[in-house]
Formats: sequence, C-alpha cells, structure tokens
Amino acid sequence: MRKLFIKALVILALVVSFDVVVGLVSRHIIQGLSDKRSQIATIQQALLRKQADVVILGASCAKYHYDSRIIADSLDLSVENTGVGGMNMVYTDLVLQAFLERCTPRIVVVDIYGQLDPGEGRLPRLKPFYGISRPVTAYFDSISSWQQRLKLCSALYRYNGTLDLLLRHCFNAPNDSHGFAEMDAIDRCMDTVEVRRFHADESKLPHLEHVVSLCRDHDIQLVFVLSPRREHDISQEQWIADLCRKRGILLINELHVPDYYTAPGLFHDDSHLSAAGAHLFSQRVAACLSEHLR
Amino acid sequence: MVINSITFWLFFAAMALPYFLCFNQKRSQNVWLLIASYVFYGWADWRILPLLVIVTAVYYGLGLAIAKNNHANPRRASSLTTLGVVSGVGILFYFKYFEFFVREMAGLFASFGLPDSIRTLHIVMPIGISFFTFKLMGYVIEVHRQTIRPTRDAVQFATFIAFFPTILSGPIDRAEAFLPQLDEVRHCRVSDVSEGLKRVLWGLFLKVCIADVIAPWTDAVFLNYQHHNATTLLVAAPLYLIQLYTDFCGFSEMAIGVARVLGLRVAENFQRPFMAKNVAEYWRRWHMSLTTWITDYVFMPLNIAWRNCGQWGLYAATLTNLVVIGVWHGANWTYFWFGVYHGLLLCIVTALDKRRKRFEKAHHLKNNEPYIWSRRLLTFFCFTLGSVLFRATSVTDFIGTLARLGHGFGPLYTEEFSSLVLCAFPAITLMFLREWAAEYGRNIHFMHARDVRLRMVSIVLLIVYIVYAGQLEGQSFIYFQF
Repeated sequence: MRKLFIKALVILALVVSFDVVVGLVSRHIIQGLSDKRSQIATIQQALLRKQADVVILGASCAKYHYDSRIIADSLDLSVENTGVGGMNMVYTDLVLQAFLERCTPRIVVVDIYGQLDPGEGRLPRLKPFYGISRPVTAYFDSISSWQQRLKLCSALYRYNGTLDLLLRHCFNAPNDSHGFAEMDAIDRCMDTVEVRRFHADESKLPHLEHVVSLCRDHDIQLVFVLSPRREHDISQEQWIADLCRKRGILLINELHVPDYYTAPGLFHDDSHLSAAGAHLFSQRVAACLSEHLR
Repeated sequence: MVINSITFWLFFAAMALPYFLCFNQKRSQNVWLLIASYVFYGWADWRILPLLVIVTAVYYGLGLAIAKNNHANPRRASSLTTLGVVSGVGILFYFKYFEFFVREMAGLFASFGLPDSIRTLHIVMPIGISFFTFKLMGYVIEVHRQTIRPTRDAVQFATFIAFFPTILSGPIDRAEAFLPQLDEVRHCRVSDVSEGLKRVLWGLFLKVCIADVIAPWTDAVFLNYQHHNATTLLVAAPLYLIQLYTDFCGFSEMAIGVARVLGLRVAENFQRPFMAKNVAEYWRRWHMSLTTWITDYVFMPLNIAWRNCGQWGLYAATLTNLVVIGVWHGANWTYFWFGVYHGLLLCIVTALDKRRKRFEKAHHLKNNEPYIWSRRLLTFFCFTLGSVLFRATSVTDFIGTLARLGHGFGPLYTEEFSSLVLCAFPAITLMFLREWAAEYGRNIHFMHARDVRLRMVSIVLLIVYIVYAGQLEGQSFIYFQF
C-alpha cells in the first residue's frame, strides 16, 4: 500500500508539473497572439489590447454587419468591432469593462437583438482568459460553483480545447478590417416573419444594467441597434424600445427598414447580412451616429 | 452525481475510506455500502427511492418463498416465480412503455376518426429501472431454477440490487456471481485499487476524449439531417457508432473500476465488439451483461419451447430475442425496428453459417487476414446502419436520413470538426490500436507495462490528454435514458 501511495504522489507531482508548464506556455501564447481574424484573437484583442473611440459589441451580427472602416470614415473616429459569434450580454459587459481599463470610448454600439436570450452560448471560450483578464476572472469567480473554481485552478482545464482554437488561428488572415468579417450572399430577397417568444434571461439583466451604468458613469454615448433579420420578435423589439425610452438610450432600429428585404443578395442567411447588406447597414448606422453626434 | 464528476469522487472518497478503515466485518461493510448506494440513488432522484426499497423488499421475500416451496410445493414456487417475472415486466411496462402505449392507442383511435380524450400522463421514469428490474427478475428465476440459494441477509440482497456503481447504467450483475462476494470481508488490496483506478481512467478517456467530442458534431448532423449531404451522413454514421460504444463502454469501465477499488468484481460489458467477424459474434461482445441475460431468460426458454419447429423455431427465438433487446432500450418504434433489423441479420448469419464454413475450408480462408478484416468491415457496416436507426428519433427520421443519401455527395460539414480531428481522432486511433493488439494477444502494455516508469508516464499522459483535450463540460451518458 505504501508503494501505491508513493506512486500516486509521483503521478500527482508529474501531472501538476505538466499543468504548470502547459499553463505557462499557453498563457504566453495567448497573450502574444497576433491580430488575426480568428475567434481567439478577436477575444484576446478585445479583452487585452484594442483601444478605440467607437466600440461595437455583440455576437455574430455585430461581427458580420458593422464594417468598421465605413463607420470610421464617416465619423472620423477610430472604430473597433469586437463581435464574436455565439456570445451574449455577459461578453458585451466584460469587453466593455476591459476596454474601460485601457481607454474611454466615446460611443459604444451594442447589437442588442438576442443578447438577452437564455443559454450560456460560447462563454466557456473565455476560460483561457481566466487569470489574464481581470473582468473575465472576476466573472468566473462570481458565477462558479466550488467544483468549478477548483477546476479553474488547473491550467490544463482552463486551456482545455484551446489547441483547436490556436491551430485555427494559425491559418487565419490578419485582421485588417478591425474585427468586421464579410459573408457571401444568397441570391434572393429575404422574407420576414413575426414571432413573439421573448423572455429576457434573468441572469443577463444585471450585465445589461452594468453596461448602461458604466456608460453613464464614464459619459459614453450608448447606442443599441436592432439589426435586420428574417425573424422579427415583436416582443423583444418592444421590450428593448421600452428600455431605451426609460433609460434615454439611443436606439437604431433597422429591423423593419424595407431596403434590406426588397433587394436580393443582401442576406447571407436568416439572421446575417451579406457583404453588400453589411455595406448598406454600416452606411445607415454611420449616418445615424453622425447625425446624433452633430 | 455522475460518475465523471468531482462530486462523485468526493462522495466515493467519503464512502471508501470508512469502508476499508472503520468497518472490518462483512455485515458492517455491506450496511455501509447499502447506505452509500441509497444516498447515491436518492441523489439522482429521491422520489423514486421508496420504489427501489419496496421492490427490493418484495423480491427478497419472493426469493425466500420460492426457495421454501421449490421442494415442498413446486407449483406454488412456479407461480411465485411467474409473479416475480410478471411484476418486474409490469413495473417496466408501467414506467417505461405505458405512456407510449397510451399515446399510440390514442393515435390509432384518432386515425379511425374516434375521439381520443387521453391526456399525457407524465409518468416519471425511474433512472436505472431497466437495470435493477432485470437483476430482480434474474434473481427469482435463478432461485426457482435452484442454481443459487436465496440470501437470508436482507442487507446483502438490497446491496446487490442497489450497488451504486452499476445501478444507473449496469452492467447487469448476476446474483450467483455478486452475492458470494458480499459474503466475505473486502480488504483494500493494492492490485484491486491500482487496476480499478486504471479502468476508471480508461473509461474516462473513452467518454470525454471520444464520445463527448464526437457528440456535438453527430448531434448537429442527425438533428438537421435534412440539410446535410451524403458525404456528411456517411461520416456521421460510423462516428455515431463509435460515440455510442465509447459512451457506454466508458461508463461500464468506470463502474467496473469503482467496484474493483471496493474489492468487488462486476460483470464485464464489452469485449472489443469492433473486432467481431459477424453479427452473432458482435452481439456476444456488445453489452454482454444484457445479451447474456436475455439469452438465458428469453432465448433459451423460447428455443427449447420451439425446438419442434426445427430451424424456423431457432429463427423465431432469435428474432424475438433481438426484438426484446431492442425494445428494452425504450418506448419507441425505432428500437423495435432496431431489434427486428438485428434479428433478421442474425437469422441470415445463422442460416449461412454452414455454407460459410464450407467456403472458408475450401478456399483456406480461416486464417486469412484480408478475409477476416473484410468480414469485420462488413459487420461494422451492418452495425453502423443499425446505429442510425438507433439514433433516429422516429422511423420517419430514419427513412429521411437514408433518403438524404440519394441527394448526392458534397463538401463535408466542418463546423466544430477541427476539435474532432485534433482530439477524438488520435484517441480513436489509440483505442483501436489497443483493441487490435488485445485481440491478437499482443497487449500494448501502456498502463500495464512492466517498467514502472513507462506505466507512470502512460498514466500521466492520459490524465493530461483528458484534461487538456477532452470535452470536460459533462454530457450525460446515453444509456442513462434507458
């Protein structure tokens, strides 16, 4: 039994050594990632590096709809698009906090549709930034059970699955579009359908409140945008409009603008615009913003 | 409290330490094991715990009554055994199939234009019911057959039924193998602890590095089969079979390992099924504890009863046997047809067996490796097709999936595929390598190497691979739903 105990200790020591080495190497690699179009680089840049006058926050709609260059040219301000597919209001809140540690943007644009839907989405993708980014660390500490916190002590666990993301990063092109990515088009006009199924996820509401209060405290112009899409959730639209009215937030509602639905080739799929659609959308959003700034 | 969670391992440590250190008598060990088993089961669903306790008490009494009447009043003993079997089947039917049966009947009435006023019953299916009812029925049958003597120790019997590593998802233990082990004091043996933990580790590797990595991709494909081409479906089908195997075998390995640490040996469940050369052999290697149970208590009696019908009797018994195995999985027509499909395959294999042997003899193929591997591939293909039926949520879905194959090939669906390539494929290669070597008696020593350094490095690398590359955000085990 003594021998078994010693062997178990040796195995434990070796595993811990591996854990430390993998942790150090992974941390070094992630912190040093170059600015590419990969998902991990977008998150890393948003949480650790980027500074801008206008920050675009949200999920895939943010990433594919807001051409940073068009908005920058129109406003004559620096613009960074930090949208990452599958993310939600929690990510928006964390990125804003991270930005505020480095700079104070003048405008924060949140692509709000779906940000309060239930589910954690791709939030686990933020795990590699535990211990690197202060907002991410604080977030995981606040929501994790004791088992989860125990697991987060392990670097192997934190960087679980990152090998795949890092390899994909290697094959991605440099990010010369400030976070914006173009999508190809479907060759038809998008029809629309009305639904009513919105229930705001209670766990995400504090993050929404936090974003609103951070912007108020730092005197940042907060703008919510409803992007065009096939499915119009009337209850969600109403809820967001009410919120904006109550809090004095500027709302740009592009959901019902006919231009997007009458011409073919402006959509990539039911909820994402194509490159041409994004061009039109960015121009319209930029026009709204510049009008408001005036 | 899933077996691959931290909570389980803390529970296990809290249970195992007093088990070995404080209790040095078999009875106290059994009492402790029973308490732990009930806590474990109650943790999963405390509402069902009374049912488990009641059926255990009833079958304990039945066992004693059957044994008492075996010589004195054989007819009564037979009646009591029948009562035990019917009750077991009845419990299973009520909790597992009744709602389906009612729904199907309502559908049938509706199709004839008759009003159906039946509401959904929302019967909660007790977790692990298919496993512990089979243990209970097997016990009374064996007592009636007099192959075992009924235990007079109620704690021992209850521990056998509720034994926590196996209650949720098997293996389905036999009383004749398990009860005698509870009749002895279990000591903490280095060999048992070491072997048990190695099996747990291997099971965890199969589960989190293969099954759980494949699952999101195959789910995305099969749940939206209408949007996928033949290429994607043809890749997804064998991957699902591998997922099913590694998910269930992973659990079995962990359950067997945990039991081994406690000094108890439970039934094996898998024996390298992908190395099987025909469907019959495959079923002898896949979910062995269930197939042997059904062979002993369904196939053999039917085969004897229908022996006068010659070969057709054998086919009918085979078909029934496989249909029972299929339907055991749940209340869905897909499981019924899964059973029929495998039953027919098995009948074909049985019918062609003599011809195959003659052919092999004439062409000296018995030890011809390419021929053996072609048979293995054919068997794998047959089971892959069966697994698509098993995976389908309805027969319409299965037909729809097959119909999609006719829509032509195209680019492979690659969303999240890279994690599969990076994590699951090396793990699958290692698994096949290990199984291939074991099949040919050339053990890849790996965690069992003679050199202690090699052994330890293998264990460390396996742990690192699991934590770094495995899918750790716990998915449930497929077989928990059965």
